[in-house]
Amino acid sequence: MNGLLARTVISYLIVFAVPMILPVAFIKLVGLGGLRELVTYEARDTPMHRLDPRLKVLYPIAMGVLSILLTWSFMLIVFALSIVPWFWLRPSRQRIRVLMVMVIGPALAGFWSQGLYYLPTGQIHFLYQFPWTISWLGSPGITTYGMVFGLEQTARVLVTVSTSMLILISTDVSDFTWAFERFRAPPQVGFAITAALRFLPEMISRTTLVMRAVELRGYDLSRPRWYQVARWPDYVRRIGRCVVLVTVPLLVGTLRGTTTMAMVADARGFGVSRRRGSLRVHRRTAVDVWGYVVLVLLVVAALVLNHLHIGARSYG
Amino acid sequence: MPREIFRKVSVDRLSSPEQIDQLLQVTTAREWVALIGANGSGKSTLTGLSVGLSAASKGTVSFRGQPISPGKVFAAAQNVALLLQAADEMLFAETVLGELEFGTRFRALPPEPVLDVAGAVEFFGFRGREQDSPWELSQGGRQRLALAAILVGAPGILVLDEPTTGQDADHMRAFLALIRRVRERTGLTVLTVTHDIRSVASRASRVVLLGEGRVRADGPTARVFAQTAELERWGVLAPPLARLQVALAPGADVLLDTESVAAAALAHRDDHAATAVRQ
Repeated sequence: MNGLLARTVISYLIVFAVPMILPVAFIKLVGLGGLRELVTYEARDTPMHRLDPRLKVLYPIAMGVLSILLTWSFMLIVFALSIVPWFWLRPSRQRIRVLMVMVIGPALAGFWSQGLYYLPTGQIHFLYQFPWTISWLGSPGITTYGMVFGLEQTARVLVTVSTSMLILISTDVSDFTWAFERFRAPPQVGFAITAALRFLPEMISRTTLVMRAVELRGYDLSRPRWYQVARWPDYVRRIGRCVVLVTVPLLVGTLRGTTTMAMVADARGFGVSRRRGSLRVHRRTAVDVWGYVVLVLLVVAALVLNHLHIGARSYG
Repeated sequence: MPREIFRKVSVDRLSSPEQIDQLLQVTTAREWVALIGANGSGKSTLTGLSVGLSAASKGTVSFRGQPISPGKVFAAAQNVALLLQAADEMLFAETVLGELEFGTRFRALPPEPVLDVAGAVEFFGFRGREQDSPWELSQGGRQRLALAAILVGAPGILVLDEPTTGQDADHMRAFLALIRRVRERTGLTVLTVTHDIRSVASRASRVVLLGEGRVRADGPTARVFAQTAELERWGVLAPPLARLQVALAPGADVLLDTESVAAAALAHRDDHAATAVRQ
């Protein structure tokens, strides 16, 4: 009986540890302010900042395609390659902390959830088999196969996420606009993307400000300590109510921001001619050429390998 | 009870505890302190500290002996009423009355509040508009409402963060007159963080100049504004009237309103004329 009880406790810990840890880690290490760090352009002079904006737009797309085409072992190479540019960028320590949480968090979630629920056919090797007492959760136990599978899936997603973040951090909105102009996209597309890119960090800043204002008006948003388990449900309830409270000022602020942006666009004569009036033009350098060569080689190599059924994922 | 709120405080950017210690430990009832300085001088950092929005790396931040803990903003807000520059962001309720009652939904009013809801409606001129939406008020009205809302309860200090930015002369005068009436009615100490030297010159009883995170000048408004060179060194331009007086008679305290300067000039002219007649 004791054995069953102990196994039940261990099983519950395995099942609930990750969903309990991840939100706490996110709130403690990232928070709303940290989320802003992820999508805000960091004005610096690094090789990544100096790259051709068109190459930077193509880079996450190409890497995303590679991550879909290739098998896990080849995917590891793609994943490693997607990390290399971060060393050129050398983001601030604060940003690295946020990025690490945003990378490790989903990896852990994928690893854990697939370990619990992805079951291979045939003989199953359980890392830990759950007793019947928690059968209501629908998982017979945690498997190595599932965990590895979860890691693979997460790595595929992370390649696209990591490359996209790299570009967001290192590319000014005017460079984005220029890249879209050169891709012959209508100016409205460039403007819409610019507006969207600007909107997210601004929305996060405004949310942070309004949350502060809520507290200044006497609303308790103080976080309990991690061990004050009994106080966490009340904290979650207070946060839920706060979301309702802040909706109106956020909505009003956003609408005002939109109006201002529309006025700025009008004042700068947006849409008067078919082409954009003035754009910061990027002059191609040797590094850009090398970047294009490497990117094209990678994609071509992946397609050839796929055609030769080397490292190609099998479907069905 | 002393109204000291900072003691030997330092944060990463404000690395001189002794200087900061001098800052607000002598705030007395009804004092109107203006915190001035260039961008990045540490004004906002101190504002954040006063309500627990940021943490001090050394020293304590307290009010009436009670420490202000970082992160416990709602608790600090009971003693320190902070009006943000973006006052619109402080409004959440559907009606004016709802705004004034907002704070009382989460904490009980003290037995002797500085201002209760009914008193705030009357004092801030919202009689007959209680059921209006805050968004139907003018910009000045919304700022007044946000101010009324944070004062309902028993705060001891009112902190105003750039309250007159973007306002025309009439609105600025009206707002400053309102703050004067609030002080008269409540006895609150007012701490204004501002770049608006004209409003400081006309209302503040004490000025604290911050530069690179340290207190560079501190004293009665007339005396601090007489230090035009020091002010300029730390990125603040004294009012033209003060600069003129310093240019004419360096070293003395300056007069900060046109009427006083005119009266002094006329008296000086009469003295001069009388001396000439005697000679």
